[in-house]
Amino acid sequence: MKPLAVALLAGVALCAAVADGAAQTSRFKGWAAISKELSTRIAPKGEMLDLDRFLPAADMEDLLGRWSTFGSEHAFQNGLPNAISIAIWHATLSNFATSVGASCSAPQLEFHAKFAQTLKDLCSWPAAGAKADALLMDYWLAIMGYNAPEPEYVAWRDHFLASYKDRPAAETITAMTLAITMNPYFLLHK
Amino acid sequence: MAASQLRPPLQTPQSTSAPERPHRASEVVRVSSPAQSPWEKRWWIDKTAKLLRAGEGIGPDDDIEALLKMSEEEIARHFMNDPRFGDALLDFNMYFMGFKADDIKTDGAYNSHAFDFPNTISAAQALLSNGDYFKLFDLEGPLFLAPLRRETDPENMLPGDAGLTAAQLRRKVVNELKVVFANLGASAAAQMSSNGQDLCRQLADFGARKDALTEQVHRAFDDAEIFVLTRAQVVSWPLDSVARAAREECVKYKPKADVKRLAAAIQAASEQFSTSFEEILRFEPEAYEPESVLDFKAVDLSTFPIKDKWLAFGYEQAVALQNSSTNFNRKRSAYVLKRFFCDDLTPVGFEDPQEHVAGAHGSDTSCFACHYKLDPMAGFFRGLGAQFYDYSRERTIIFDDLADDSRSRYEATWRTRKGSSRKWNIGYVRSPRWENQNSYGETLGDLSKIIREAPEPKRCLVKRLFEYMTAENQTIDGGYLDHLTEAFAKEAAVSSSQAMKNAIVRIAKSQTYHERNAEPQRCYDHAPDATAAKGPPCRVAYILQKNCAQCHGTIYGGDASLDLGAWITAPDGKNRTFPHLDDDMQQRPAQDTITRMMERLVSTDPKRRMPKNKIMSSQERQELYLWAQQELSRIGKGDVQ
Repeated sequence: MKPLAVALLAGVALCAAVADGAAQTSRFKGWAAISKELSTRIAPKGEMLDLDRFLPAADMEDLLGRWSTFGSEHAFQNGLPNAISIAIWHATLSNFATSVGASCSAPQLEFHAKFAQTLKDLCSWPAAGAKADALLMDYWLAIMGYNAPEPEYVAWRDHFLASYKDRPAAETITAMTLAITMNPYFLLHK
Repeated sequence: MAASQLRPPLQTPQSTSAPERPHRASEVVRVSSPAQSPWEKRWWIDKTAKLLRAGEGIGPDDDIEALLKMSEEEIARHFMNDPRFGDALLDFNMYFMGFKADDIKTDGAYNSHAFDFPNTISAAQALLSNGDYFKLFDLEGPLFLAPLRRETDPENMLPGDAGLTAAQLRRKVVNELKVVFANLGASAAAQMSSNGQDLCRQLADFGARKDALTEQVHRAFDDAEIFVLTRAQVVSWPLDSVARAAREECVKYKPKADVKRLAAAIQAASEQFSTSFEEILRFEPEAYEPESVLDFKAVDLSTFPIKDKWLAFGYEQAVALQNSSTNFNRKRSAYVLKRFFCDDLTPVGFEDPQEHVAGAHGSDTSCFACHYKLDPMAGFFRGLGAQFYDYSRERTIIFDDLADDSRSRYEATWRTRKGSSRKWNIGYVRSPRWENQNSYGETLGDLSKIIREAPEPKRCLVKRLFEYMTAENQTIDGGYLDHLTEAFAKEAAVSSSQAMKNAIVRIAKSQTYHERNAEPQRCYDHAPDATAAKGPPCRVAYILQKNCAQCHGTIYGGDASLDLGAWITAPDGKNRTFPHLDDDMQQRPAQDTITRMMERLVSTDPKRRMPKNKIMSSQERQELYLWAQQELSRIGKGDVQ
């Protein structure tokens, strides 16, 4: 239930982030941009992760924000978070996070060597070495990049050190990954 | 997660509807980057990497520590030297043209969409080689063909095509038509000493099969490729030229056809067909797969029957910007005004023309508010019919709705009346009253020249760049935009490429770009000479200062007892408004002042229209009017500023 609770909180945060108005700065980056960001950070150099397989159904990426024809020009469509798009993001990123968590026992995706090493070290969770700040920071930055300000990292780290201190590695890494990827700083155009 | 729900404290200097608050000039006019923590600088670096490397931020192979030691300008220029910058430029150029895509590459190969806008490619290539970036404004130029399709379309294949690859099918269809020409050529050679009647019968059959032969060739190509084949007339020209010769020679009253002439026509058509396809087949994906924008290859147009410059409106624009026998290219005109001049055609009135015009919408003032500039711009497209096909050498023009019309009758729409110094009423019209403010022309070449030389497109380009780098709906102070544009235009007079790169650096160093959670309604940057004041909302402050404040700069002694340079609390205590006194020297309600302003903005009466006896750009008039409209609506709803 914990990953669900975290994701629910993230969903609420997403809605809160757009509550001040329908600003473009509070719109989804879109599936293509997110796929490229993640690939740049954790895939082997010059390669794209096959993330489409995590979508609940074909063509659902259209509902996650994309540039497409509107009138006689292209405009960014479906960028404003709503209940449906958040549900799709959650389902998609849950699949992705589960895949990353499952990679502790058998690699599910082809990763960059640096990320693979970070993940391997984190897979020793709940051992003390996996809880080192440097390692957690590496993992956070590998997924989030520098999208979020530092207090976001601190909140994430403290949450997992407290709530997941004795949980198995796969479950923890799945929840960690989902928490990062459902963070508004990760999903929204800032 | 809790932290992500906390909104960071606002550190912004001025809002469009901000309440009065202490204001520090240094914040308002700041144009240099603020001091940053290493974490925030990493964020800026990552953001800039994504912007200038086509979505690819900082990855594990980047040396972030080395980047941290560099200044922001050095970092931006470092990323502009990355090969991926070409893709970022192309992406921006496509955004400027209104056709941005999610991604221009899939699995490392460019999507066909990326080849569809020749001016965006030419401009990107030029910038990468320090050339003429303003090729972006050229509506005619080279043709960049995408690598030909890799997959066949089973629906269009004939039984004999089974098992062929896309490349094999292309060779097959080209050879099929070559064989048709060869057979006709052989017949002509054999009948050289005859009266040619057998050859005429063959040619009559050939003429009747023109459409079928065209379809036979097209089955090896996709829609975007067929669009090129059609516009370039690589199939139709050879077929038509033989059919035309046959029509002229194979007539009943001629007892003997000129077989020699027919043979020559067949030979010329065959050679033209072969030459054109030899060029097209250079774009087979096995031989042509560009790895960067600089690798994009232009077609040698001299190998095509139509050897003119290629029209910059590609397949997607041809589908999106359709014309009809009744819309007189207004959709295309509106597109040009919006994309190149940032003129959204908000109907806010116009200067009463000194000489009234007739015709469509000419006498309806509300319609004329847009049509005075829409219709003259549409005239540049008068010779282009369906899918921008050039009908200017033909008697009839066919539109996208498949209606047709006599071209001369259709073009008469844009002819000036007798006695005019101009032949055509075509151009970029800023004012229907003051013709000396307008830029007239006849051809698309003239329009390209107007776009290159007019100040509006440069300002529009900088505005779009700001939107692209920050957010589409981010408010920009007019003075700051003019400051950026002025620097850009000055540098562009020497090198448009350097000017563009410098503009990117300036915006990357701006306060707006540094804001993690920018408020769309706020202006974070202002011109260096801006005066910090409790002035009107930034969205319109500069427009008012530039166009209105000379006459309405004080409530004492000025016209209408109105000060459009200040922004005070309204009598209701809730809203804010301009100082504006009534006949009893009492402050007018905000609603009253805004309503009066709107009336003066839209009035067509030269005595009432503001600014009086002065040209105000339609872009600024629109912006001011829309702001006033929103302000009035907000006050009406009771929303507090």
